[in-house]
Amino acid sequence: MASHRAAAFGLLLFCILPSFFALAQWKTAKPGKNYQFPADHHTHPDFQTEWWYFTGNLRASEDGHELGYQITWFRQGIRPPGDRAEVQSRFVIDHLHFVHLAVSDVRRKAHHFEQIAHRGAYGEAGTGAAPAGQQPLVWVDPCRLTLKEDGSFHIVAKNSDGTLALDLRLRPTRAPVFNGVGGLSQKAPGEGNGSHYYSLTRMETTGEVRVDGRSYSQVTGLSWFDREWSTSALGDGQVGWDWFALNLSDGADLMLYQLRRDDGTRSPFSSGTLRKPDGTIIHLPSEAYQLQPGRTWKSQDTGGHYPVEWKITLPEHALDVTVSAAFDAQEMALFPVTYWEGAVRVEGSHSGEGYMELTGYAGEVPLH
Amino acid sequence: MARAIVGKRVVSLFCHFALLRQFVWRHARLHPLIALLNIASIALGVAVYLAVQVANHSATRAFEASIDLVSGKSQLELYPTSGPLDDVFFHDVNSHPSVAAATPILEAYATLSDHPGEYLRILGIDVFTNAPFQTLSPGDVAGVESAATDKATVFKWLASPGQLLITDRFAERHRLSVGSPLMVQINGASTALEIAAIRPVSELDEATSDRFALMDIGWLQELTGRSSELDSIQIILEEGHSIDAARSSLGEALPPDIVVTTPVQRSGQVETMLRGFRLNLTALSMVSILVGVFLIYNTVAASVVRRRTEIGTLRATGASRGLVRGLFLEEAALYACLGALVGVPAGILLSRFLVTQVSSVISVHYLLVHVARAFADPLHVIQAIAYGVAAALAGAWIPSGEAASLDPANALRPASGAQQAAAWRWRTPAGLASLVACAAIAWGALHGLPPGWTFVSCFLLMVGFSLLVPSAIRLFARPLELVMRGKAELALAVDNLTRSLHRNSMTAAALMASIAMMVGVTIMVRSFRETVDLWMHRTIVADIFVAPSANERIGMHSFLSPAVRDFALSLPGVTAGDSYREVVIANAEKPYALAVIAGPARDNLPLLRPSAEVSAGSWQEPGKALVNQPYQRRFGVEVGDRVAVPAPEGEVSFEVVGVYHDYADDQGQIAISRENFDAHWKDPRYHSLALYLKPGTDAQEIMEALRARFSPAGELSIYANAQLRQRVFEIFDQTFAITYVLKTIAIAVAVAGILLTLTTLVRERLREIAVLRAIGASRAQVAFSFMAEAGCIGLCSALVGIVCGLGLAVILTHVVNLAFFGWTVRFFLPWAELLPIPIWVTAIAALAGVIPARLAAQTDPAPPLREL
Repeated sequence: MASHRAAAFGLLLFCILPSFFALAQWKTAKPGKNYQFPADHHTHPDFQTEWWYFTGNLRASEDGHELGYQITWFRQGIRPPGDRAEVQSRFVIDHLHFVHLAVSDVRRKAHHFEQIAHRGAYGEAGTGAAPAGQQPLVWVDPCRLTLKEDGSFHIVAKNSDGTLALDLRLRPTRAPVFNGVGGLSQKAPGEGNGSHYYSLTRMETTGEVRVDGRSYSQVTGLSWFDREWSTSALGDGQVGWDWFALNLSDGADLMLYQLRRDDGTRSPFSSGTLRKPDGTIIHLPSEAYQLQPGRTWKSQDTGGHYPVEWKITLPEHALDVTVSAAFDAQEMALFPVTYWEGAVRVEGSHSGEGYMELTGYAGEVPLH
Repeated sequence: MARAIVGKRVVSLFCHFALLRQFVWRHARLHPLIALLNIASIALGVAVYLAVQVANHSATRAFEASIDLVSGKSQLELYPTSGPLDDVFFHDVNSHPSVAAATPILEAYATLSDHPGEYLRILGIDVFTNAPFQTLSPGDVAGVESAATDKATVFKWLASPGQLLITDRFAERHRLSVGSPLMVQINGASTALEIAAIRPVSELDEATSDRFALMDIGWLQELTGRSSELDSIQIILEEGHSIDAARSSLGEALPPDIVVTTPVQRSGQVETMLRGFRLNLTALSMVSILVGVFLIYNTVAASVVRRRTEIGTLRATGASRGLVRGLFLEEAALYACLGALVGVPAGILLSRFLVTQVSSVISVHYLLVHVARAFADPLHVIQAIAYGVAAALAGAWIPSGEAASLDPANALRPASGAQQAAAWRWRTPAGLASLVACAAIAWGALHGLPPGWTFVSCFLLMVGFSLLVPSAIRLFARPLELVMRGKAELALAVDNLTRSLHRNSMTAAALMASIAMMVGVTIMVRSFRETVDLWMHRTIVADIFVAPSANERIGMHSFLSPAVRDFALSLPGVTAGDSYREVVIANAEKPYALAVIAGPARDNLPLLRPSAEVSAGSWQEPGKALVNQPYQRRFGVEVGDRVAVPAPEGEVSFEVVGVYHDYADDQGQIAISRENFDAHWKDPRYHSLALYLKPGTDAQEIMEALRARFSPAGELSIYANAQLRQRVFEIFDQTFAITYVLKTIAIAVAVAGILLTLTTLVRERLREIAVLRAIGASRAQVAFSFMAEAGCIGLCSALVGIVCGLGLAVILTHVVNLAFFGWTVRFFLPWAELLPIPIWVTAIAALAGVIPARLAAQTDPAPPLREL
């Protein structure tokens, strides 16, 4: 039964938080990185934390049914590079792998999600080395991400009882966007407290989705792929963040996040990236934008109060929009980390759609 | 009308209680010692019985808790019978459609370098899959203040070797905290582990011992050199899937020597293993109850005689026989209740001590168990109290009958002795019949009856001889009479012996029973010891023995490193090294073991039927095996039969070419050569080494070299031949220590009986004593006569007791050992210990007569004479 298999994987996710003693042995993100593709799509095992993060808005071709999806493969390092002595046992692992899978049924206002983790002792979770096509990029059975030779991605995923499934092909339409400055996205003060972060912002998506047992065999839409790897500590006093990934109707793509501190202010290390319709990439430091939370929604499951409407202004770029959740109840009530992640709609000076992630509103310390 | 009747009943009940209170209290006030003795005798029986039951029950609880720790929530478990369980199967099991959750388990046992005598059972768990099965895990955050510490813990747990989770009790006892190092010995080598987390043990079953720790399964595999091995896989099934269907479907997918079973069957195995041991303990505890019966009999009989006047008065004023009998019985019951009140807490206290003894005997001989605390099941307490009251009533039955049948007129006249020689005739034929029945049942126990019947036959033996005691006394009286004709006092003593047979025979019977038990047990234990000594002469022939020291303390869980053998053989003077390996075949119903013996010199197993050919080593040929005697008995196997042993590839069949004596085991073993083992099992490990030296080599030097190289912290036990034999005897003596306690109690009780009986007799014979004094006997003469009578009782009892004891010894040695444990023990009569018995028993009995004798001597002759 799903509950048995899914039971208390959460404790492992405590490992997500880098423990200080090991930090010194992992590689840290440094400025001046030269991203190479497809090599950098693959895993970076000397860094402690890494993920492959997909979100997207899809429509069923039969009846225009709107769906949103999120699937993220996480890798958390267990044995640091300097400490990987030869072992005979298959149970001793170097990395911890787990996946979050969610599908939002906008018309029905229903959100379905699951978290799956495997030890990997039997090859049921892992990452693949280059070249692409031979092995998946990353997998946590039964969720696999494969990079095709033509540069497109293939996602095949299911939840444990088969009620949710994704079989999607994603074709990047633009070059990767590098977030941060000089290939480094700084998150907190101090050297090494940053990540290497790039996004494939607008990917044409086709395929099949199954949600709550109902199948939609022809869906199309746009997906956003966030890639990040790092070995960094959480900054002092940071309680969570709000993150937006928006595809605007004029062809612009906007990624913004703010790190919230316990005194209610925004960390100066918050930033964003705007990709203009003509392809120019603009790094947005914290001063360049305002995020104003609007209406909140209270979760029955966890008691968290999430602002599900936001006003976003980029004065220099004549952008003044309201971002609202396609429907309110898109919380990922997982143990031990609970966060809100859902499809959003954009209105105002620009229109569009995208995804929003809100963490730190329901108690536990968020993922980093 | 009805109310009047009820009212009458209430009033009469009330009156009865008032009468009873007077009856008891008056006597108790006058003779407080007797009252105390009554209470004490029942208290003793209740305490010992309860202590044994509690000890047994606590051991059971401890076993169940230790099994529960791993499989408490499982519906099925998988484990290998002989070879290891390859961890590759876990994936298949986990993905089986019937399986909702599965988790792998690995177990290892470590001894603590700094705390000899203590051990740690280390469970290797997989935190990814273990959660549905166990309440204690490293990520158990409930109750932990710092979530951040916990995250670091799990991280370290998975990333680093040697990380242990221990219980809070264990940590307290050894003053450990998170981050402390812990030196342990595993497989005969020392390693340092680190405490990663401490969890309260209160979340588990109370009976769980705190001597366990958790480690990540991957790192435990590395630590013990057992990567790719598992000890078990625990399974929870999907709802709606039947256990039997899942079991057979899983069984098909797995190799033939993997057992799929329910956890209940595992604890059933433990029960079977311990059944013989438990029954013996319970039988011993019943003895203490019988002792209580006897003591009560004596005290009540004595009090009947003392209270003749009281009884006469009661009867004369209208009390019925029933009422009198009832009063005595109720008095006994009352004392029983008081005795139980003392006995129950005493029993619980005693059980704490007993629990330690029981658990160490079980650990050394059967299975490792640590009984953390004593558990008193209320049912056992009720049983103990019930037995106590029953014992008191049984003991008081005959004397209260005597009291009821006293003639009131006679009773009121003091000092008229009760002369009840009537109706003893049935005793002798009854006694003989009992002996015949005893023999029949003993024969039956060897040929099919459940072993428990041997105790019945022992009981019948004692009853039979007890019934024969009156005839025996009469028989002895004649030659004694002849011998003592000279002195008047002695002649009188012998005469009194037979005339007061009704009293003396009871006492003599009790003394006889005690002596018989003492003799029987002494002979049995000595026979056993001599047999073991002979056996060791045959089997322990090597010069030096080496094994991991943990095996001695906690069982065969550790293996010897091959480096030890290589090094030993390289030393000058070492001519050969035999190895020994035990493989427990965890068969679902009756577990037994495979003894794997390597080395040409190990062909000296003592066969039941000596055969030169087999001894020369033909049993080591392919396809052949020897079985030990317990195996032969338990599985009904004879020479020429075939036995099938489950091996990784399927069952392997061996022809049994001989049966050998083995006193180190009672579950059964099949002995095969190492070559035979290697042909079917891919497992080069072994448990111990035996080294043979060239004549003239200094064994001490070799032992020192080994110690220096491999055992700086005592990781190995290295014994020279003589030392090993000594050690065996130490364990032997420790195991039989409890029988010595029994012997002492038995004698003390019997002596108390003599005292009471003779005191009673003095009262009964007041008139005679008065007459004797009147016609000129001196006080000293009267006293001496009583002492002589006591001495004669002692002498008769001793002689009959020795005969009975010999019979008991025969049953214990030949029947009990064979029926329960499968051992043939050679009968050995320790003449030197037996011959003095009549002498000192007579002396003690005579001494016991001193007080009654004084009493008799000080009697004023005048009052009784006036009544004449």
